[in-house]
Amino acid sequence: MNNLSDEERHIERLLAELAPRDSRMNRDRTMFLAGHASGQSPPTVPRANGWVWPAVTVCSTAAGLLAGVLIANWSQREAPVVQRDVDDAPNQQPVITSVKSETEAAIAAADSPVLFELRLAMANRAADEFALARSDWSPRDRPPAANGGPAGGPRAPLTYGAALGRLREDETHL
Amino acid sequence: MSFLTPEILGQFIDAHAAALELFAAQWSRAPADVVQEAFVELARQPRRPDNIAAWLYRVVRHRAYDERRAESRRRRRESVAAAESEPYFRRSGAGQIGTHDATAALRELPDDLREVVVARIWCGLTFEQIGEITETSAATAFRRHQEALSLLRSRLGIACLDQEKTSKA
Repeated sequence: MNNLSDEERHIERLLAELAPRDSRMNRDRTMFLAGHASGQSPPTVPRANGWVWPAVTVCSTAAGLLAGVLIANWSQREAPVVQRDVDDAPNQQPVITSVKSETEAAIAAADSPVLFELRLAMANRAADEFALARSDWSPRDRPPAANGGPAGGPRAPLTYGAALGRLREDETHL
Repeated sequence: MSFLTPEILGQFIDAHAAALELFAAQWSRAPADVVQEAFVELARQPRRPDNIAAWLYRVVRHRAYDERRAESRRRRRESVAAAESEPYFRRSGAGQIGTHDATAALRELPDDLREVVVARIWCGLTFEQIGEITETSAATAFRRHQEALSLLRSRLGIACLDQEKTSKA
């Protein structure tokens, strides 16, 4: 490494004849400051096991976050619904569908105009039957009770034609 | 409690303070302050460095660099001009090279070459130590030293060794 040529050694020698100027540092003050500094507490040296507490902090934080995410997912999870058509396919495995999908399908079907008309027709038909049943129990046809309260004996089933004839009679009376 | 006793500290100040100030003067306008801070920092160390001289030069270099950056921000022109006019060396009649010429030639060198030649000739550090301080390899330090010597020779007008022998004869 130290293979300087003679020429380079000669230059080194000439330069080394120059002495650095005298120090301008205040020696006594330096000694005083150094003594004061040596009496102070030494600078904190990082310990070899200084990573333990940061690692514990990071791990516990990560575990807390993971638990929070799991709990949040668990609460949003959908309850499974089991459907089994016993009459048609008794050996068939139960079909698991979600409540949400069935609800959405029902809402979509309810919006259909055909179903709406069908439901309207069924409602009208139910109203008609209800009206007929009430007319069948009119007080005019009911036999008088022994104690004056409402009573009635067994009656023959009312047919649709009979009900219409009775309605017409009522209209003529009115 | 520091390892540094007043006797050891006094010996180090006497042996290295002047060279350390020359080393710091390459970058700092107040090299004496930089060297003093380095000694105080040494006293604060709980354990003895492997090589106290190399440790001191490393600390001085870092602090002088920082001081130069702060100085460039402050832009104190007067003090800069005054500091740059002072030679690095003291007058001695025996030397062939003038103190002002040597200072001017050194100041013209690039930073990376100058710090190596100063550390080698006037601070007496090995190339391994210089490489450690300047964060390079010893081989790089040696190459820079050769380059710096060549530039100094041409700038200072130092005659070749053969020419000098013939002129003496």
